[in-house]
Amino acid sequence: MNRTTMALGAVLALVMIARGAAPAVAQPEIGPEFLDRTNRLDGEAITFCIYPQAPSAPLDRAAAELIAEALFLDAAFFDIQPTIRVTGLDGIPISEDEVFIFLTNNCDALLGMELLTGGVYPEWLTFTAAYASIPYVAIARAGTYADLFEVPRDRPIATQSMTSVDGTVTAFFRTLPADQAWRRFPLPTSNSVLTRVLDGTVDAGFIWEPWLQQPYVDPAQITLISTGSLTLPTRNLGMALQSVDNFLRTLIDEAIADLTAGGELAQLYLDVMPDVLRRNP
Amino acid sequence: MRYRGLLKLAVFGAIAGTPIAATAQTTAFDNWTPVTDEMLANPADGDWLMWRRNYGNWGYSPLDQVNADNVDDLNLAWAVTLDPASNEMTPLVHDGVMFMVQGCDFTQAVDATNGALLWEYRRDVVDHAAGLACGNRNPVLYGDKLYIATHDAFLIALDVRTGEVVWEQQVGDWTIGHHYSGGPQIFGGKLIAGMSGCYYINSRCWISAHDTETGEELWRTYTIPGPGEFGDETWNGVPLEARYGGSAWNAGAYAPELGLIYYGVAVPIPWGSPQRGTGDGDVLYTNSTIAIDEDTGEIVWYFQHMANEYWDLDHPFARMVVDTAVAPTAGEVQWIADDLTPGETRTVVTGIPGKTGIVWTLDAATGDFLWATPTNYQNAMVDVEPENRRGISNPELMVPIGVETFVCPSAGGGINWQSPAYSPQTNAIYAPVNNVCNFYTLNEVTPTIGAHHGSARTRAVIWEGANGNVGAFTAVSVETGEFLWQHIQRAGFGSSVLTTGGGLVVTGDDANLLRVYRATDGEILWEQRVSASLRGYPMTYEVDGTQYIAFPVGGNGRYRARTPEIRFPSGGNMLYVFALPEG
Repeated sequence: MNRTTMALGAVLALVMIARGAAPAVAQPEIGPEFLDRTNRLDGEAITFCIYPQAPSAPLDRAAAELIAEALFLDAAFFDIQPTIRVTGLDGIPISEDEVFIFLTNNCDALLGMELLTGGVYPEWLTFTAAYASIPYVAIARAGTYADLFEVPRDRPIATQSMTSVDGTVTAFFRTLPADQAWRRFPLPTSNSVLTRVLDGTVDAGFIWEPWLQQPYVDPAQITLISTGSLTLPTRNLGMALQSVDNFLRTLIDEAIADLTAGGELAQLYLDVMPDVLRRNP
Repeated sequence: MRYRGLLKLAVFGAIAGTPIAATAQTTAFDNWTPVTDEMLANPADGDWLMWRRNYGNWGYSPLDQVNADNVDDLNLAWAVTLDPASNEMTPLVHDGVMFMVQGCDFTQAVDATNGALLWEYRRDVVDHAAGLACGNRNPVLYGDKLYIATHDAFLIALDVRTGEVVWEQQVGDWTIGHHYSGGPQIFGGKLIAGMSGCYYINSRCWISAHDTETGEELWRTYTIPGPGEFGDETWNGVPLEARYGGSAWNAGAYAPELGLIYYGVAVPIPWGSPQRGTGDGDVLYTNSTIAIDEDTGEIVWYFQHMANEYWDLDHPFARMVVDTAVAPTAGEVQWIADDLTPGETRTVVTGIPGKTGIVWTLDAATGDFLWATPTNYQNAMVDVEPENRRGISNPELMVPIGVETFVCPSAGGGINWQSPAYSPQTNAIYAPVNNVCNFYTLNEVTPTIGAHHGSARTRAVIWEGANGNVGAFTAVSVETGEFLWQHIQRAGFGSSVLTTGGGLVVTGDDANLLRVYRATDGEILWEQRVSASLRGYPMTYEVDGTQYIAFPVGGNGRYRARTPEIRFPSGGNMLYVFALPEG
């Protein structure tokens, strides 16, 4: 795609105008000393906040670059380094206040946000359409099972607490007769699920697929197993922006729609996370 | 005005941070005497050496120079600006020196007669994931040291004369969420502190005892059982690394004659049983009072105020130890033990230990249930099973994930960390409670962002039976459970309470009003609008024959979101100190 100075100037000017005209919504109470209220002028770039420890980070980065290019802009990145240093969390371990500070001081959009409904996010946040939809998968130790339903019912099965797969699995287990249901073994992180599968505490577990891309996961020890009538959920990833940046969100949404229709975003996942796909049956 | 000059000096010293001459320090500490166990057990009338002044967490001082006859003569003695961080401070005073451990553990020692700065200690602030980690509720004095439990999960000892660190001991790991909020206590010559911050990335908190000279850990008692321990089965097979919650948010109480230390334990996390996978298990010792052997750390007894709780109705607040006749009035008190012998005098653990706003009274030696009754509207606790040592959570409110229900009080609590006070003159508890409910929905998943676990989404409202009034400042007899009086008002009560030998009760509200009530009948004797909502812990002390009343303010009113017409700018952390005019 060709870049044009005229198009860039028009985009940035419209973003600034639109932000000034946006209706006010309640914002978090954050001391002014933490906020840089001067307008950031990024030249030809959209700046994306990215959480480098997220398992989807390579895909987040590549998708941002593709979307920026579609808008005739460069993609710049600001790495978020949370103080919580626990690996294996599906989410980004920062507070809403910190998101507001990042979106005020450091970047235009935060990548890798799970798109959830039900009012779990504050009003001052808005979200783009999904640029990726990535499933949860069932795993077992290599050489043990090929299907979840081969696992003896007296054996525990690990899930990661407060994830959508946890809710799905819990609801599914509840539909089974008591003597047909496995015991749910809730764990805090995908790392602990992997650990407990490998050490034999549990016979199977559920994790988000991108964790299979991590270098510390030995592919020889893990196998994906099918789940039959249990359909596992997917996490839809989008970007978070401040609601006042609704105009920029609309532009990004249009780019995502074009790139989805053209198949570029789907291909991106295949290109960026090959190890994940190699393990899929 | 006697104090005008002193006020100028205090403000200059605090703002300019001017180094104080050694001669001034020497003078201020001329009368200093090391704090002993005897002093802690029987503090001098003019001193305030620990969180709520005595082992029983009464929040009571026998000082009576200020009383109902002269309280309306109170004037400002001095005031200082406090650090802008979260303000939940308890000032301590001994031998004319005040110690102020402020947000993020910033500490100042000042002359208690005028606020002149003697020294200050500023701890490096870590970028803690929990915004509330910096709220420091109390230090404690012992020997020549000031002991602080820090936002980065250390215990430290400062030299009272210089503010220099004598020793520090890392107890938790702040990078995975640990922090102290409730401060340390000295019980039986040991430094005791309860850990907080056990959210969703680290499991089970603890209470630990430490050597006062070195910080070395002497014992540690976890607030949630491990495999094979008593109560393990109440977690229904959930693995140890997923047993979250059980923070010990506030300092404990102590009954030296029984050798027992009392702590409160917070909720399990995630909040909902369907989320944590514990089924109908009681999830001990969440929402319990635990009595700990002071020598070994062994749990001697427990009582679980809400078993298998769903709604973030924590029970970690101040436990009070009181000797009293026990004669709850039938018809006035909602739950009374069947086998109670009315009028019998006992040592009890009482107070309002949890957000439900219920007064619980237990036998201090055995934990046996005696009586319980609510002070604000609540629908979350429906019965007591004394034989099983537990309160019964309302099963009708235990709805599945994603289904909204209506719970009272709200997750903010009828009461929160603000502490009631007890007066031995009236044998009553004075409780700053509130009538707030919430529509409550367990979240399907944790939002992508969130250092917090995000167990539920809530929408708080004023309880409809309160006619638009949030605050309900309530005096409850410890003997009978009857209300002596109740002051209902629009603004919420988010501050702690002080009682005095002058027959006074001091507290503040979200409308920035500091008020003094008569303990016997609740008549408002004096009030003063201050610069921000009343926060922290009020206290009183005496130096050179003058009684002072000190009150930290600052921060947003906790219940102000429910009263949108009550609006003030946020911030404004200050300490106000009042006294009677000279002569």
